[in-house]
Amino acid sequence: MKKILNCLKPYKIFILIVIIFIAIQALIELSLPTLMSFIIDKGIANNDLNYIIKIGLIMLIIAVIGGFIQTAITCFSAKIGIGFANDLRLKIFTKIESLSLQEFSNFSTNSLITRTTNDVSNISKALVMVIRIALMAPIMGIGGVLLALKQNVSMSKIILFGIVAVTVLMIIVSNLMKTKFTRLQKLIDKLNLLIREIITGTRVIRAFNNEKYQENKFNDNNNEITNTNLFINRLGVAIEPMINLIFNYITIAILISGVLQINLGKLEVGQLIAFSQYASLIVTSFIMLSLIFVMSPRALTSITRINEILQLETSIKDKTKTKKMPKTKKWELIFNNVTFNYFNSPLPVLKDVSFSIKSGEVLAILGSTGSGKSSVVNLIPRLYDIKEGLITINGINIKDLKLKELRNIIGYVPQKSMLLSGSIKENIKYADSKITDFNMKKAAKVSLSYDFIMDRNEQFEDKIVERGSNLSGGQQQRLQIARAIASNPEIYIFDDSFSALDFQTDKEIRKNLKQITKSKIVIIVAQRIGTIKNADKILVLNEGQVVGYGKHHDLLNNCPIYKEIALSQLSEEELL
Amino acid sequence: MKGTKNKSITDKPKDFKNNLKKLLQYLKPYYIRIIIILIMSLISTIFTVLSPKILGDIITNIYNNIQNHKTIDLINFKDLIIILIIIYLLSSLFRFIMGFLMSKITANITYRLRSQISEKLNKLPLKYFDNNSSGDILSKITNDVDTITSNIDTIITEIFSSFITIVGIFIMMIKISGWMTLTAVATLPISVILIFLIASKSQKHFDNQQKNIGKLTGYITETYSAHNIVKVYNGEEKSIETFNNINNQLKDSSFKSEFYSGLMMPIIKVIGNFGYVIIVLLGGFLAVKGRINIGDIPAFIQYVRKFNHPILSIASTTSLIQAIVASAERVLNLLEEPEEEPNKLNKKIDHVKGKIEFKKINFGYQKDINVIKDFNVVIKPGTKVAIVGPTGAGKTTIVNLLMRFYELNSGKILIDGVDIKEMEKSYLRSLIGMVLQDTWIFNGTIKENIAYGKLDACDNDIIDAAKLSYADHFINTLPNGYNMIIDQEVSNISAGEKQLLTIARTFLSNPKILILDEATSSIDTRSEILITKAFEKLMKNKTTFVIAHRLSTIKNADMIIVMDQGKIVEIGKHEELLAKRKFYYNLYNSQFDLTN
Repeated sequence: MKKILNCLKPYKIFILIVIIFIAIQALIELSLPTLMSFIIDKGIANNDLNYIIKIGLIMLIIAVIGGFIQTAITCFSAKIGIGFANDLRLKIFTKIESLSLQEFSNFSTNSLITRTTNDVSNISKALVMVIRIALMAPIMGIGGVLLALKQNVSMSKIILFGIVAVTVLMIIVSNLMKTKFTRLQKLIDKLNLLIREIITGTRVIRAFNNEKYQENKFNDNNNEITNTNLFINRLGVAIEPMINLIFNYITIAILISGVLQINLGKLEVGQLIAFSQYASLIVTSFIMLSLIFVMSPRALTSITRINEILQLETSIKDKTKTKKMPKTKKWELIFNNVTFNYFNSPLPVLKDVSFSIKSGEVLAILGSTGSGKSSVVNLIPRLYDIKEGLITINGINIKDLKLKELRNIIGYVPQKSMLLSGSIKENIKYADSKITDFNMKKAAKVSLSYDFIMDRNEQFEDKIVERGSNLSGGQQQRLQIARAIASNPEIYIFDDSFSALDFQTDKEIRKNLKQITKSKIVIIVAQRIGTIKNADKILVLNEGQVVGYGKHHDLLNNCPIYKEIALSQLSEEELL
Repeated sequence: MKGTKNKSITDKPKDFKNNLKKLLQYLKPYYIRIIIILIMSLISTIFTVLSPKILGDIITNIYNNIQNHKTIDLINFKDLIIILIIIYLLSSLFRFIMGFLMSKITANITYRLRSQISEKLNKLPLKYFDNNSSGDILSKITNDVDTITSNIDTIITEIFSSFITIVGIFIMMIKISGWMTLTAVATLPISVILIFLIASKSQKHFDNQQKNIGKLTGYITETYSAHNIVKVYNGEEKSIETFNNINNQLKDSSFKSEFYSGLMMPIIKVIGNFGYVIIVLLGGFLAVKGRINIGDIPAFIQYVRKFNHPILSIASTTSLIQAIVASAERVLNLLEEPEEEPNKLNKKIDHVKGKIEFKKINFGYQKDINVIKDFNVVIKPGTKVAIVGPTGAGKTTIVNLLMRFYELNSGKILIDGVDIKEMEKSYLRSLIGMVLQDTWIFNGTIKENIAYGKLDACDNDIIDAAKLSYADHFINTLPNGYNMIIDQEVSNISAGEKQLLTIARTFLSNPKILILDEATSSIDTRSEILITKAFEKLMKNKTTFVIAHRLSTIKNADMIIVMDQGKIVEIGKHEELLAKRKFYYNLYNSQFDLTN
């Protein structure tokens, strides 16, 4: 909560101004009935037309000033609300960018997106409402009571009683609503989910004849939503008549008490009318305030959701004392009995994994789904941190290196396409905008992207749209390879990067790569035996453990799992 | 929220009359309750209109007494005050009862519409889902249903009482003073014109804002999805900078949009205050002249304050009704979509062997474009059949037809000699188990997801099925094991692992015929071969279809059907087809380029 409120700090002065303006506005609203009472008590009673016109003009001027003040309030509250949203969004985005995959993967991407967009806008909308409407009610209430107090003590008591009654009523109602509202929000999310499920799973549902099951599940939810909604709506429709009733009875009370006081000569008729109008103004502003109760549960949920993000601290960051990255051309990466768990999971994904690789070597990692192949390569740039064991580069624990420097020497090509919208040039030069055009073109040529880039309208300046959907899967993959090459890394990581390519392109790119990676470390996660057959070392993983480590021919002889995989793809003769 | 509202108000229903009529059908069961609501509304409105005048009369009375220097005796207005107390009480009570009844009506209608839609979705032919995006359907069941029910509420309770209020107040105002009424009514068009001007201005900025929100969301989505890359290539600062740019653009457009739409309220208020001043002035003048009573001034002020609200309500009626009917049209169109052909016969097979005959099948998803042409083949019971061919050859379509997700244009499909058209769909589908390329995981525990294949399965069955499909190991590495709640978006389960779960599901349902439609394409070859082995064990003597683009996995099929452009081009075993050196041979070799 504190972290979110901090975003309001830059607007302290604005908020102060708005509060002052609202106070003035409340005063103006209340002054009109007061002036009217003058017209009645002094103007009409004395048949003094000049006085009536004089006071009337003052009222007109006040109404005009009121208009300007209202506009200013609108302007400032928009400034605060929008500026706040802007700052908060930036804060969340920056926080999420700083997170390592360890924290990041605890949330679905969708949920992170909603938190950065919808949740922020919920809070900012509520904030503007609070400023414009909610502040008005208490100020108007206090002002009204003070004004009444100045003129007549017993009248102010009646008004005060009304305010207290309405406030108590609203507190009760909002408490009743609050839990129901949070529940409703959840139920609506669930409703969306269930419908989406029916739509995306039509075939599966029908294939298993589970239509009824699905309908029942939906109707359970539908029923609960309907009932929750009904409860909330009924509370909602009860508020207005109740507040109205309180207000109307207050008016009668004012009337009766007024008559008694007039008899005592303590009050005049105009004042009496003014008092009942104060009551009306105050009650209207409280009815507006009740709108806030409709919005607040949603905003509160959003606040909690955003807080969850802002509270996170990334576990993977630079140590206070870091070691220098060696300046060398000879590199060696060693995994020493590495054991790794994903956050919260009872069983390790990797257990006692050891291997080593030097510049100029190629290491291939092979294994079934869930065997931990991708986890191995994710550990090298410290996307995750290990639990036990040691990963070193040239003898230095990678945790002792600066993250930036460590990642600078790594070129990573993921399995999924992860291009960003922007020009092709920006994408290839993503690692460093200082990469020369010459190197960019070279990278494009090596990755066989050059030809299709030149075929595009604006060549390297051509725009890639969101998620790269104006490129084929193969083209995306080639650009990702170009991006890695252009960053001129010492360690290449290909996480199943060749599977989207057809065999011909795959072969050619690998031939080109051989030249470039001659003196580098290359780690390939692959499924095709053909892709990795010639690797210097092959690491075979099964259920997170190393079951084979060596060259193709050795593994064929001594690693049954390797042989099995190989045979599933190639015939006995082809393997040799 | 604002966006959808604006959108739904601007679009117009195509067939207004008809859809309105159909919509009224939904209200029919509640006619009596609605009549009660309307009567209460009438009475409570009359009370609301009368009360300021009564109050005014009391004040006039007091004033006159003062002018005549008499003490005022409360007993004089005892009756009037009691009337007021009763009127106020009844009017609030009636409003509450109205709201109470109306809430129930709308809740019932909402429930009914939603549950009708969900049932409908399960009866629609698959064609419907090909042509309609899921976002559209989703918006019908949430936004459109909401628009209908929340506005019906307003129309019934508000519009009616608004009319009466306006007429009533107008009569009362004229009774007090014609001149004052004229001034009050004159301020109305001014506010309407101002509001209209501002609304059109703010719409432009609003559109701009929406555009920028879209841009920002797009950027966020992309960056979050590529978190790995941003991290590895040290792109955090760069992405924050870009984000900041878009965010600032959004800030500017949002401010303008917010400011202009926010002006509406102050303008109404300021004009209201002007009206107040003018009425007080005029009233004071008329009172001095003795043309009206003192009590009429506060009464009149109250009337003017109450006049605005019903006028705004009525002004928005047409667009409200239009919004309702437009939404109703979308919902009703969905509900009236033709359903899957009903079953006329329900033939069953005594002892399922699994012989499948495709007899001269023709089929197209769209009229005149046949995707399957003269497909003719007999499949022996208990054999493993592979269907291969390039993308778009029609492999998956064959499966869709066998499952009767779509109906044939011509031809017949027989299982053990029985036309599948003569079986009940649910019976037909219970014979066949399928694992599709796209995994479908629903929100629930892993256990529930596996049990989907057999709803009454016990825990042991579920774990056995998971073991058979090699899912048991990875399930145990997850936080809550079998009780972990997952959905389509869960990120620490890979696509392959999701597929393992759906395979476990099929193991559990134990079908007579099995279809694997690219089921292993997201699973690596090692898992694929293990799974295929397990399947073979399960499917002994049962017919299996395998559709795969990776030809290595279907080498041992009993029969390979090679398809191209909706036709069978070759049939045979792996070796036979290779020996032919034709279509299959080329297809096969294009995938195995082994020179290294």
